[in-house]
Amino acid sequence: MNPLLLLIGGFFVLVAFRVNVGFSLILSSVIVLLVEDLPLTSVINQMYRNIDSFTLLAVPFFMFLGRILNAGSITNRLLALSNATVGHIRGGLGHVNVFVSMVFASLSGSAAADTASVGSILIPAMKKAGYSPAFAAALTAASSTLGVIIPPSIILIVYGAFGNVSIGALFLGGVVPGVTIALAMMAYTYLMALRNDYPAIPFPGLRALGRATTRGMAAMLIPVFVLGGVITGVFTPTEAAISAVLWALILTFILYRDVPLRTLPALLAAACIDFSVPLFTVAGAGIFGWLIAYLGAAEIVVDFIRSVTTHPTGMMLLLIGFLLLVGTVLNPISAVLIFLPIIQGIGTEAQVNPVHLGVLTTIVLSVGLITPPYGICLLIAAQIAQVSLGRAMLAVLPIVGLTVAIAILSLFVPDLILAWPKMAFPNLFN
Amino acid sequence: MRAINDIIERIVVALLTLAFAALVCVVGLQVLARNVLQVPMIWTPDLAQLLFAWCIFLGAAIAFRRSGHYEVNIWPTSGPLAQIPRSVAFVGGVIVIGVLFYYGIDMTQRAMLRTNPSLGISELWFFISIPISGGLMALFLAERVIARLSRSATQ
Repeated sequence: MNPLLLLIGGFFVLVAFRVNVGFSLILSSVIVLLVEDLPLTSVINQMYRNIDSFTLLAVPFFMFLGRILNAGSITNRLLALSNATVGHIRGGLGHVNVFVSMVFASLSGSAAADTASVGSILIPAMKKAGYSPAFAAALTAASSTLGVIIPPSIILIVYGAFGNVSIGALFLGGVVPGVTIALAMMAYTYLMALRNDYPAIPFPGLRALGRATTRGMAAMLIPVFVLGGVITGVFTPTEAAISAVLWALILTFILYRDVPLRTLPALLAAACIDFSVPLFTVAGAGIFGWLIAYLGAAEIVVDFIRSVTTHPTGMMLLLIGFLLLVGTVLNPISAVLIFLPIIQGIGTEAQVNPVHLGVLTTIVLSVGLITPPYGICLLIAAQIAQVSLGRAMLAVLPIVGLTVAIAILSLFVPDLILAWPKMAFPNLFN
Repeated sequence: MRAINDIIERIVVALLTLAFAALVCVVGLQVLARNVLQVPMIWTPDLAQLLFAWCIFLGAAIAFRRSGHYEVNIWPTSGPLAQIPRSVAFVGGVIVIGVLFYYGIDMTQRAMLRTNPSLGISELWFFISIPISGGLMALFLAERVIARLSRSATQ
């Protein structure tokens, strides 16, 4: 049997049998190593090599940041700020939902955390205000995927670290499409609000807006730190992440004092177990990715695609279709780790800029977080809204369509993604 | 078995908390030293990497006990086929854990002879987290099997 087919096929069969993703990566690699008569010590060697990266250290810190934000009052402050800014538009709570996710996304890179924290507050509120539970669940789930696209995004860090692309440029590239998708979601909410007569929250007055802004200000400094620091090159992503963590710790435990200091060990432990899961997968992908490269998967897939079409746009559309399919079963980090050589192979063939390719890949994979069977954000939101997964799925489809449409649009208007990175990193675009 | 593993889990979680707290401090110190004090430290990146590996592999063992790893649920949960994944997961788990443990020790032994230049300790400390993680996972897997056996014995 073709070893490459055995590797990828074996992986998907194991995953289907509910073997966890990290174990499936290692196990399918072990089988191929045995068949190919390669030494098994390389499993451990490659696992270790994959996590031996200072850039990856940003991942635990951003996940810890998410934990701190949720434990304290920072999420609530951001909600109040969103309420005061966009709540008075028709379909108010829906806009608040999108807006707060967008801001939350700029603070930490975890989509599922955002669904759980924002959803547990806003979904019940939306239901009470007369929104259909399915719509509330769909919007909450969809808006939290913004965390994957808008920096600091854990997926973009992993993509940059393993794909050798500037993380600063990827971060900047994620801003405009992320905000565009958020605006599209808000426009859709507005239409739904007109059709179903969803209410607006009365405008609280300029004074209340001012107060909410001051109260939320200190937290809003975090994205300024992170993006500003990484783009100007003052900070590496890891340094930016740790600075943001230290600032959030000072805010939560010293300035706001809304969480007692004795809860800190529990927060540390919880964050540590949180990030060990994706990073164990990163380690497992070490040997798997090495085999993918060793067996020449990228060349084979590119050859195959070239036999279907040689038109760059056609190739990219095929890639988008492939990523949508992969995204339905794999979470974005696993998908990037496993298929990066193939994604980059197709990107090179279609002559797409590496920054553009990275952001586009991330946008398309983010959709997988709200499509079954691995639509973790939709699952969480549907559970909070107490609505069947099927109805939540139907409600989320139009939003999925919008996101994919924006990804495809970027193929024809690359500056949707590249305009800002070009300005900040002109030397990458010659 | 469960009682023993509960104690083990508590110890490991305590170690994780310490290791992660130390990681935050070490990297925080590094940023401070480089950007504010302008004195780059040579030992912080290696120590950070060491702590990072321990956090990941010990954390992964705890996540294994709590069934926290990424899984894809497309297999039917009822009917005659429902039991297959358990057996596959068990056999697969034994192999993966065996590789982590056996080849982890192998790798650790090779690393033992090298000394990390900036920390002055043997590189064994970098790799040994992997076989330890495998050992912990083996204990947790055994617990699961024993629980299932005793459950089917009482039925």
